[in-house]
Amino acid sequence: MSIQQENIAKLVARREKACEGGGEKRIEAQHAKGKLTARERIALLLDEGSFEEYDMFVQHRCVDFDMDRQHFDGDGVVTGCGTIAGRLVYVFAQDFTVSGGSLSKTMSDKICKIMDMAARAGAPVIGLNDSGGARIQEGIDALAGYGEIFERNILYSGVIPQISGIFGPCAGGAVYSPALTDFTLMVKGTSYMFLTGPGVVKSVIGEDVTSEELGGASVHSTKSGVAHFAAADEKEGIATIKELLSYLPQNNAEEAPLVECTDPVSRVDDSLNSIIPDNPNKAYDMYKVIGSIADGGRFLEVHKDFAKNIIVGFARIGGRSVGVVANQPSVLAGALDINASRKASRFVRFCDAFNIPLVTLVDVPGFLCGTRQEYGAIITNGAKLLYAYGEATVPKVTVTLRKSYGGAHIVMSCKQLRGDVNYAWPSSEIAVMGADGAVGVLYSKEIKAAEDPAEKARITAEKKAEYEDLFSNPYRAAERGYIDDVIEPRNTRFRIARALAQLSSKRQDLPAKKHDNLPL
Amino acid sequence: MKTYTFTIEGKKYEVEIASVEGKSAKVSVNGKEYDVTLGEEAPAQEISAPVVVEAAPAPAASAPAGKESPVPSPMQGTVVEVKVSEGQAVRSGDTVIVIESMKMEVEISATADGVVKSILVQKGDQLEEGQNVVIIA
Repeated sequence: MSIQQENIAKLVARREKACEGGGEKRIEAQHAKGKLTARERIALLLDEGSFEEYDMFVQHRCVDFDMDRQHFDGDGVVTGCGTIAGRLVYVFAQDFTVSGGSLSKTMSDKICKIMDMAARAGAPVIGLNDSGGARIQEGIDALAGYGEIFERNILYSGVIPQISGIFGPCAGGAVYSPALTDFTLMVKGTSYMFLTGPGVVKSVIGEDVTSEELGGASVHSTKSGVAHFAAADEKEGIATIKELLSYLPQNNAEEAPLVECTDPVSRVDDSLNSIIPDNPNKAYDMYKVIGSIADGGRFLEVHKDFAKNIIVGFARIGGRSVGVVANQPSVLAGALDINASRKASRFVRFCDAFNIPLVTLVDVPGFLCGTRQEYGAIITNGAKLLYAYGEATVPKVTVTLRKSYGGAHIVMSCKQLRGDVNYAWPSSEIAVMGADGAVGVLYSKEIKAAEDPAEKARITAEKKAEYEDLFSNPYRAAERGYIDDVIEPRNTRFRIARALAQLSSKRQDLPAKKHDNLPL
Repeated sequence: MKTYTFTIEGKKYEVEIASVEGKSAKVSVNGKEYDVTLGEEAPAQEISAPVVVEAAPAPAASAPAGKESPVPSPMQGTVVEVKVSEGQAVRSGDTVIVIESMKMEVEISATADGVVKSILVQKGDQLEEGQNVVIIA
């Protein structure tokens, strides 16, 4: 063998060794837990043969605690780039078989390197997390590593899409990188996220709780809202990440890919003409309306099981990605509460950052009232959604289906928040408050003055009917131009599609500023 | 010190009344101590309620024995309709109670398959968020 051939053979051998990660035994242990290895995950995620790995030979430089005698090429994370459906993405996947995926300074250097490359190339970053936490032997260096990753999460926020998959433990400081990214997906049963684990929780505050109860996918996708998606297993999780990416542009200077649309935009859906119940207090299922207006009825819901009184997610109309925000009358009366406001405002801001038009479907009785909401700062949280809509410069098409009352009317992408096209169905009730409340305030003297209870009831009913006649409809708003048109429900898909087509070249700016001051 | 033994819904409660001063009393239930303030004497009907529940035969059908699923109200509101009766079989997702809140009718759905073991509210009741309305067993 010539010297050059020997050199090449050495390279091949070293690559093979690196690909084994922590070795066969640890890979088996990983599989026994129902988990894939970092390389298997990347293989599932990327187009076949597209993966280009970087820093495969990186080793840590720690010498304390005998660490200078334990080296693995790659140092517990696989990083590089590749394509998904032909589109470039950058990826890092922590390798739990190497030192429990613990984060060293060199691991963070590798992660930061591909984040920087992604930002330069204008391509999304996907992080697959599976790590026991900081590599304690490295001490403060590991913390510095986290800090460097976080800073890049922040700098590139709103520049390139950042997606976090939680495929194992993610505890302590490590949780803050996913929290800073745009979307977090957790795998049910095998992943968890918390700042402090069950052991410390028990010793510090005496609370007995399991990892799953404290920070499993079931908790974060329903109660805290930390996770946007919960997948049944890793394969489903990776499929969801790919589907999500299909709705997103590569970066903030591009548009989302236009997909061929086989569902005619002029499709009329007669069932929408009868979806609103005659009794205005009865609920109906908003998903049916979303399914009717979206191409092929396809909808990728975000935060499916969290704050279900508002629905957010991605769909296409005429092949174009849109972000849908819709009140759900069948959950909590469709009222806006703290969690619904948090959920929707984050989604609206994501869409605005990445040039995805917003389609808003309104049926909102108001903000949820009571001490719980007020003590929990519904004012500040509701203001987030108001702010997000008011600040958004992407095309905004709003359809009011039924109720749109008071402050909630304004918040839900009204005309004055620079809504571009605002439609209303004939069933709309657009007013400052409902008839009962309004009559109670406007005619309290007359009602009080009437001595006979029957007379009281008569006046109330008469005034209520008068009020409903005048205000429980879309025409007061339409007469003032606050609603651009009152449309037949069955034409909704077509009307939204046509409005979006008109708005495809929309340009709108915000006043120059260092940055805004969203009420956090 | 007075000691009582109660059996409510199959569970035994050892209640000791350690002291009573005016309207406040020190009571321990199964070894756990509580300071209680005595209110108006409860109407007879309320006292008999657990007895009625106890008398209902535990259905062995679908739910695993002894596992109870309380159905909480998702929000404050007023009960406008009780859609089920005790002993009735329900499936997860079936509407059990309708409340009015935010001027809207809000349906509260069963959280598990099983049989309605007890109904804890009636028409006209004001509900708190999280208050249990029905127990399914």
